[in-house]
Amino acid sequence: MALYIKSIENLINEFKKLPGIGPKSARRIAYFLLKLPDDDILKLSRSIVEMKEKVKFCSQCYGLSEEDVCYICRDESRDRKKICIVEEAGDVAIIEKTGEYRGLYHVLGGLLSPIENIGPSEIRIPMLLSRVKKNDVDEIIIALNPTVEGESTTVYLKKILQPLGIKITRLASGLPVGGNLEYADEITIGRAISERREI
Amino acid sequence: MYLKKLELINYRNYSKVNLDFGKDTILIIGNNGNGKTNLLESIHYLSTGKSHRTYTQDEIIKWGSKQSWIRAIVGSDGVSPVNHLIEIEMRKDNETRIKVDKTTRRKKTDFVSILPTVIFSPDDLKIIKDGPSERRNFLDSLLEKIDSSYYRQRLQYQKILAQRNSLIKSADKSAGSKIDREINLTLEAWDSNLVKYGSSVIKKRYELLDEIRPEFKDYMENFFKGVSADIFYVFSWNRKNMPDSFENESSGNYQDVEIQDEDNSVVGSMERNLEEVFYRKLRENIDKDMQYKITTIGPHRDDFVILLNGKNLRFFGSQGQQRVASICLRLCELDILKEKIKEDPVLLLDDVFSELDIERKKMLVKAVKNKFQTFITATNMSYLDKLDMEFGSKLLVMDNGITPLDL
Ligand SMILES: Nc1ncnc2c1ncn2[C@@H]1O[C@H](COP(=O)(O)OP(=O)(O)OP(=O)(O)O)[C@@H](O)[C@H]1O
Ligand SMILES: [Mg+2]
Ligand SMILES: [Zn+2]
Repeated sequence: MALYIKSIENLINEFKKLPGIGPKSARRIAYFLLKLPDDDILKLSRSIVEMKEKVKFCSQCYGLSEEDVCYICRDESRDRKKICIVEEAGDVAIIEKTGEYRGLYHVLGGLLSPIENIGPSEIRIPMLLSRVKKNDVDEIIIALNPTVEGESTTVYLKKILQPLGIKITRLASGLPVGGNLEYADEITIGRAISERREI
Repeated sequence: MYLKKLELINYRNYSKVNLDFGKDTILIIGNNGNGKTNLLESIHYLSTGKSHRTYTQDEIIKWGSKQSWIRAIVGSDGVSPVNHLIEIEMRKDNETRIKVDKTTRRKKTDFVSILPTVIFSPDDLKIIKDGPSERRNFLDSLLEKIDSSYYRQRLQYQKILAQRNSLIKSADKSAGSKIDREINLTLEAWDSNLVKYGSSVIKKRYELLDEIRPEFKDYMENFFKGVSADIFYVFSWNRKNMPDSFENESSGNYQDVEIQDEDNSVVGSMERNLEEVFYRKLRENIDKDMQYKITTIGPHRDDFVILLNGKNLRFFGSQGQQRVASICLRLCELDILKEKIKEDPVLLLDDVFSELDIERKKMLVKAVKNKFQTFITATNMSYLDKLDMEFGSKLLVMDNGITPLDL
């Protein structure tokens, strides 16, 4: 019979629910925490609670923020006529890290998926529409993952935004930089070819 | 390529077998239920990463065991001989691991072309006799062997289709049989992607059948002197008298498929045109889709039809004629494989001779003889002696074991 201590097993079970963590890593982390000084443990547990208390959705773009309006939406130096549409709040950070984009964002919080009963109103599309109608927007950049759901959501957005006379673009999906043509999958190569552009 | 060494562990009825083969014709003799088909199945598995007769891996693992293995050395001879070690490990819960030369292959599509095979199986009669899904499956399996992007494209199509079907079902709940504007807008978004991916599936299948067509006619007219044979692709939108229960397609019979010239040239050189037609038909049939609560238009409902003297072979052919037609399809598969993959395929002939009369037995032998490594199974030698065949080796399958017979 293996050693069984209830409080340890409880924690392990909590860790197992986290993304990317299997039973082995869950156990490793639990035993690692056991060895930490009390101060560190308190700091860790407090920051989890604090994060959950403080972080909320920005009332304009639905990105993450500790204020009612996030720092991106407040930043007057940004190009307020451009809105980049992403699926999750985490995608904002990814695009921000590139430093290439100086417009605003809109976080959908999901993608169209009839199987999961997710339609346009479940993914903040009504909010997007009213935002676009209220403000002076001249370009919408769609940056959704090229999955089945992402592509259909893209087509849908195009259908409802085009009548408003706004320029709509999507991220070019090409070959990974530094990647080798030989190792890219066929669909990626196919799309890179069909969406090629003049140089 | 040919199969040089085969080792099976806990595979179907075999606990352990170890066999060596030459690049010639190998005869496998054994009574009913002794494991001849199982042996060919394992070779087919080695080639495609799947069984030709089951989708559930667990079935393959020997009863009472937890794992089974296929290990093989495949290769070629000549001035610069090549050898590959292929290892397949199957576990309960449908987990499979495939290694080639000790490196794990994550994607099945990575390895399918190493040892191309064509299997002639008694089940092939289903391609002719059963519902359209068997015929689509014939085209799909062949396309997967020659076109590495096809599998993923079809998978993508199926995902979109599942989403669309879901949408149609939910639309009905909220708005009766007429769809409201909001749902229709969402539906259009799914439709445009359905058409995008679906069209490439249709196009590839259509073009494949187009390539098969002249050879198929030749083979058929050779097997049956004085008849005329033909084979046509049937688009979902040309399938007439939609059976009420098309979810169970094998029960639906549509004898008068209309073969319209306009639509047969749809694919041709103009890819755009196909997408247009597909989209138009999809939208035209929207009310029917709502009524049946399922998508009625698309490659998932395409078919092909074989005509013998102008009559649909599926309904009017004799058993022998149908059997020969299924063999001719496989011979076409062989020709296509030879042309597209620059590797010699391996032929697996599972009990194909028994239903044929002596004339047609001889014709089949002529078509496949001495070309590639060929595995032939039979329950006895009696009629094989009358056929002009040379066997490199003979194996007797008995008591869950395999022993070589003296020549
Ligand atoms: N997972 C398994 N474990 C053990 N035995 C199995 C398993 N699956 C099938 N069998 C056995 O394999 C036998 C069937 O073998 P197979 O279909 O290869 O026979 P065959 O020699 O082709 O016969 P036939 O001449 O009738 O076609 C059956 O007796 C069945 O009980
Ligand atoms: Mg058999
Ligand atoms: Zn914001």
